[in-house]
Amino acid sequence: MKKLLSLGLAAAMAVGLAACGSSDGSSSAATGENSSSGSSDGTITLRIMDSSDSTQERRKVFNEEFMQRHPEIKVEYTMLSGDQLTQTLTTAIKNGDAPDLFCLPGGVKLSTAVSEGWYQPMTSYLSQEFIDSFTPGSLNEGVTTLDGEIYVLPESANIVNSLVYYNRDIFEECGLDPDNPPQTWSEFVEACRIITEKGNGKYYGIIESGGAAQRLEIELRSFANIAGAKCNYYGVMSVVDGKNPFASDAMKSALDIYAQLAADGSIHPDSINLDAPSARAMFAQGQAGFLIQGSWCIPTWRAENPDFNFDVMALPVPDDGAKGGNPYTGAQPWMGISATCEHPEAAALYLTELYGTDYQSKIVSDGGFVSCIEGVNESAMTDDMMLKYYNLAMETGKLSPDPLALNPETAEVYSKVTEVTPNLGQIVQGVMAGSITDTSEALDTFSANTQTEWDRAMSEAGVDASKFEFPDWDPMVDYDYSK
Amino acid sequence: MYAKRRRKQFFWCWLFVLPTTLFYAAFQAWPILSSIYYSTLDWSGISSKKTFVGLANFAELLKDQWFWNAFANSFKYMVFSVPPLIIISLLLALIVNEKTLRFRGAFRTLFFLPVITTASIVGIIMQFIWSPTGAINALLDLLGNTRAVNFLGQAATALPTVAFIGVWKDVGIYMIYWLAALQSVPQDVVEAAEIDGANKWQVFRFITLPIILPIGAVITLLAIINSLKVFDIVQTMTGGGPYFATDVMGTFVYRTAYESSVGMPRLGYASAAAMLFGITIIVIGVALNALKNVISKHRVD
Repeated sequence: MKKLLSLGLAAAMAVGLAACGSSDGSSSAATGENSSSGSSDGTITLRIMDSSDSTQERRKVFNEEFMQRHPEIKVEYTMLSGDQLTQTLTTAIKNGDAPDLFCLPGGVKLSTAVSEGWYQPMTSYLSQEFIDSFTPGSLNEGVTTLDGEIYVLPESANIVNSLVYYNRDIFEECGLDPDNPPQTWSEFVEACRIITEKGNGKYYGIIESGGAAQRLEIELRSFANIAGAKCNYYGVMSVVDGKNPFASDAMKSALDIYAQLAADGSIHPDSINLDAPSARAMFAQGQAGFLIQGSWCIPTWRAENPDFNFDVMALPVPDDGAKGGNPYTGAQPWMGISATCEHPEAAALYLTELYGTDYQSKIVSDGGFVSCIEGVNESAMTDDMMLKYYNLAMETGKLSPDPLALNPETAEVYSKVTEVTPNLGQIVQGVMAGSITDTSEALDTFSANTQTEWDRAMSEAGVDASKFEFPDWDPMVDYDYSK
Repeated sequence: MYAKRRRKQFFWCWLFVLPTTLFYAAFQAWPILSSIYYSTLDWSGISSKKTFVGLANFAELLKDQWFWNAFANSFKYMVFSVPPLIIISLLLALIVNEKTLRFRGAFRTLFFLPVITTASIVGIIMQFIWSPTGAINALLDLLGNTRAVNFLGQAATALPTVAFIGVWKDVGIYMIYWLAALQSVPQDVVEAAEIDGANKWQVFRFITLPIILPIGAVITLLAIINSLKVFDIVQTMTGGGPYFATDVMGTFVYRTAYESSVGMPRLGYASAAAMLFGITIIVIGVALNALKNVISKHRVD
């Protein structure tokens, strides 16, 4: 008996691991609250869920004011981060307990969400005036809209989120000219080397968020695109001459920048395990000369490191000049009204006020946020550095063709394609850690594996590779979506 | 009369076991069973489209280099963590079990403290302490080592470092297990030996050790199984990196089930990986249990 018991115990502990593969975890289900959205005293409850952490404080105030203006509506707002949001939302939706308004979890395309019956069309609840207040290109068929019906709205205007910040004080200490930052790849690599040498362990050339593979991939794709790889923005499938662009010379030369920086010891040694917020914080503490991130850094530094003497510059270009721009796609899908929402008018009212110039101006003036509402950015963007970032982003960023917006049938491929391991970001990680020495071979292998997976997904979806290829795409200029 | 009493006893036994049974069924048995089901599906976990693929996930896993990498890392983690865990916790237990030691209670609490600290917090703090610019490197610097060691950032040192921190975190709980074992050693035998002139080492070697050995086997079994299941501390410190050097089965399953950059995550495939590894652990558990029974036969009563 005792023997049986201990055996059982061992088995129970062992399968505990197996249980973690399940999505029926009780913890995520527990967050679902009472799903009734109306109550006996006539008040309506709007449950809202998203992952907008940078505007969180403003949002709480907005929610309070909204409830004061509309005493009949009670707002229950939940902010969850990335993975957590995906798990909680998908569980809630499966249990028929979806929030009234929720954002599209990362990695899920609108067409998947709509065919799963997550959202209801909202066009009929919105005024024409409201729809017209969005800047052109914010609402796109295939991205926010399907068959002419708007399902979700974009959170903000998309701008390039990989520009280079540099520490002006470190530049001066190292004899570099802060008003004349490096412009080419070799100048950049050289500046990193000088800073590392002068820093002597106190600071390094560049700090990366190496723990966040996604950030690394965004950076690599940006560098590669500037070298003419036509690899498009993160998460977008792109085909050049019938193949994926990951084994191209441009891509390889971009990855070699990281190999060179790693070989020179110019990358802050903590980088490999850092997430983006930690890298941002350590950069502001003067631990590195450069950091590649987006505009969201600016308000954080203004608040937490008011004396930090930083500046922003464009991503360096290959020594023989740029063959493309810093890639970005149009506004991305964000929040929609749940198919199970019983008070879509109230939800639409909430959205109408959330996109009102009053709230949008406030979050734009905080910095780091670019509104997709007409006229807001021009009047509310007051921070000098934010303006500099915005202008640089508009100048060097080039709109790349989004297959989803141009050929909506490609959505079917996205829903079929699965992840190739290691992905691009993980490869950069491997280069930084010194685990990958042959960068060219790593990309060849990745490209071959990706091709096999894409071919499979495309044939399963019945969509031809040409739907992902845009021969008229000149990466030096914004792609013309009107064609 | 007797039968009636038996029935009554039977009823009460089940009544008291019922709450645990229900919780077990809901939070252990059900997820495990659904995991078995998921492991036969081609399913992202997001869409409602599930395709039954039979054993295809398992066949693919057997050819997946990264699955085997995680598989091997889990066992490496076990090798790095279990022996020091067992030996150090036994030594600590012997020390704090010593009646002449002052502040015994305080020491026990100190060693137990990391056990009740949340793993994610331990992970974040240890990241700072072990960083090239952190406390450990500052100490090495004082000792004359000039070049900072990137413990968690280098493929060669990352896994042993994580295992070391795992040992530090868990040593307290195993110390408690050993203490329980030590307290089962009959004092009269020890005293008799001491009167016969046995020194501390001889008492330990010839009396304590043979008596606690079978319990030691159970403790080792527990440590092995727990080390193979490691997840939280690895996820918070390295997330499986640098470049999969610390990617254990827990992080492999998590990443495959929930994360993706271009494509869809693969919950079905992740479930299959968890099942396959779960079966491996069961096999190991059964084998070790058999070994433990052999050791028990040699127990000195």
